[in-house]
Amino acid sequence: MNINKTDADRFLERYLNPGTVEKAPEGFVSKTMTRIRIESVPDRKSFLKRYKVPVISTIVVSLLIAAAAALTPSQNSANIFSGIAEYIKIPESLLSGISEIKLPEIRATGINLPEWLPYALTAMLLFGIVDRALFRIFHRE
Amino acid sequence: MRQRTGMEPGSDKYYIEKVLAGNVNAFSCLVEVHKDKAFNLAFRICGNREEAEEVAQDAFLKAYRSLSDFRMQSSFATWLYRIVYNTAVSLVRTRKGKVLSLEEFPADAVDFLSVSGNEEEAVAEYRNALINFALQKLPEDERGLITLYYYNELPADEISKITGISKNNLKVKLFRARQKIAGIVRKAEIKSVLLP
Repeated sequence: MNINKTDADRFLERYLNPGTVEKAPEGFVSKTMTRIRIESVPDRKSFLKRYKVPVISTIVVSLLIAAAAALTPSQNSANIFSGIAEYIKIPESLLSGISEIKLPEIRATGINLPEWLPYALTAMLLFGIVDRALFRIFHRE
Repeated sequence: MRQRTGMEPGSDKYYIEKVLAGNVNAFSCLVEVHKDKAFNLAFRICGNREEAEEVAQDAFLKAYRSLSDFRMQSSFATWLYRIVYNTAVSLVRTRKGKVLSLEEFPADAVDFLSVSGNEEEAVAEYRNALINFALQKLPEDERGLITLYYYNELPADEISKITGISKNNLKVKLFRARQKIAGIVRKAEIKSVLLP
């Protein structure tokens, strides 16, 4: 991207140029190095520490998939997704309020929104809350 | 011809590898190379040398602590300037802002001449003081943009990486900041000429 030179630029170049850089004060390097030696140790984090968020996330997702697979009814488990879809019926009784949510029909186009949408929205809301909670935990100063 | 890998002695990458291998002193070479531009960026945003020194030191300390996270996808300078920029802008935002008026810049080149004795030096000092005064009248993020563009002579995409401002937005912000600062400096110049 080019930044076109304007009159203001040509005028400012008299004032602002690399030749007028404000130099660091005397002894800056030694002061900085002293602070570094006193205040820190080289941060050579272990793999687990450095990648704790993706590691925890992967473990949680794996556990959820494993749990879903384990709870899948065996008689009609053509594949894992159909089993999980079957299992989704269980919390329907627990979350009856969600199933009663009536989604508006878009009359102009005649489109009926799918029945699973309230569940998806609830899940998104819950994931949002969990995400904020994890963000607070991992970004704590 | 030998291919450059960025690991030649004297390069940033060379010193970074040394620091990561446990040689703390190698970091002083990185500080030496980048101290002036890092300090200048902090100084132009903060507006005073004491805070700028603190900010620049903090930035080097932060850079040292998280050097193992630096993936070398950008240059060390870009990464360091981003730390300096964020540290300085945060500091300025936390302190109570004081709006300067043009009346608060009473000096003109003649005042500097009485101190310096050398006309060329006096004019340079005057211009530096005036630009610093004008920068303090801009929002802190715009001070950073002006500094990175003029003093560090960085291209727009580098400035965009440092500040986190999209390229299109940066172009607009930089244009406005340049117009504003040129206006302030011109006004101060006229005022200076009109002084008895």
